[in-house]
Amino acid sequence: LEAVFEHEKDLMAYALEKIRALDRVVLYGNTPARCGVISFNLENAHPYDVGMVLDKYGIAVRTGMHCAEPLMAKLGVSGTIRASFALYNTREEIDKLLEGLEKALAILDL
Amino acid sequence: MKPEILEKTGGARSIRDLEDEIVLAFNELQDWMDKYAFVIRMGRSLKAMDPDLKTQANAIAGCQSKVWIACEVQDGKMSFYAESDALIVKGLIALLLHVLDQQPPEVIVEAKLDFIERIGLHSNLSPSRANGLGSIIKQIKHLAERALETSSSGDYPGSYVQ
Repeated sequence: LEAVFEHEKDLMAYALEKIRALDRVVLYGNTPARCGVISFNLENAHPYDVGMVLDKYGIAVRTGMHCAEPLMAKLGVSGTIRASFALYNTREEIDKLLEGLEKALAILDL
Repeated sequence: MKPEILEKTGGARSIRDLEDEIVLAFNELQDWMDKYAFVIRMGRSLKAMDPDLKTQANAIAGCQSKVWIACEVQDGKMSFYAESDALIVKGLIALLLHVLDQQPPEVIVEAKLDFIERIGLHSNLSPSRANGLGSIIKQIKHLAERALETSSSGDYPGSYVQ
């Protein structure tokens, strides 16, 4: 269990570093105890559009309000993209997510 | 040559003819990236919807993206006004309206719209895709049915049906 925890912590730190380095990304939440999920948006992009491009690229994320409409209203967004990681995910998959996000920026022509 | 967008020619063309035009355009596009880019360009070419029409009554329920559809019937033909805050959804609407705008309601009610399958976008019809093509088509057909009912009750041509 300790190994699983360490693996997920490593994935989260890696994903955060990569996503933060991406241009035009808005990251939601800044708790140091973050684990499991990252909610974000690409500037000026509807999360649904990004999700559809990622889907075509073979990457499964959840998009939308995540059954948290009051929170989305508070954040002033129509939804977010949410990537989640677990023990079976790898750093390579996070690299692939980043490639997919770059693709989304290009296709959506933002 | 890759198509940029499909223009409305203004002539009285059949639904079948307009569907074929879309299928031909998609045949020119090699991969899904090109296809999505085309759908997005079509969306950007969609005529702007009057903000006053973006009412709750004209909205299609769903939590993924916002969609509004309104229509007007004049001289037995339907004009549609639609918009979405998501680009791909807006593009799918633009494709549908390329085929259905300016058609008579009785033709719209009967339209099979199999171009969606022919261009491989039917995965967007899945019920899990909130506000996907399925619910948009359903609403357009509902508006056409309403227009027919209004027409037979003598109130035709109407202003905004809904």
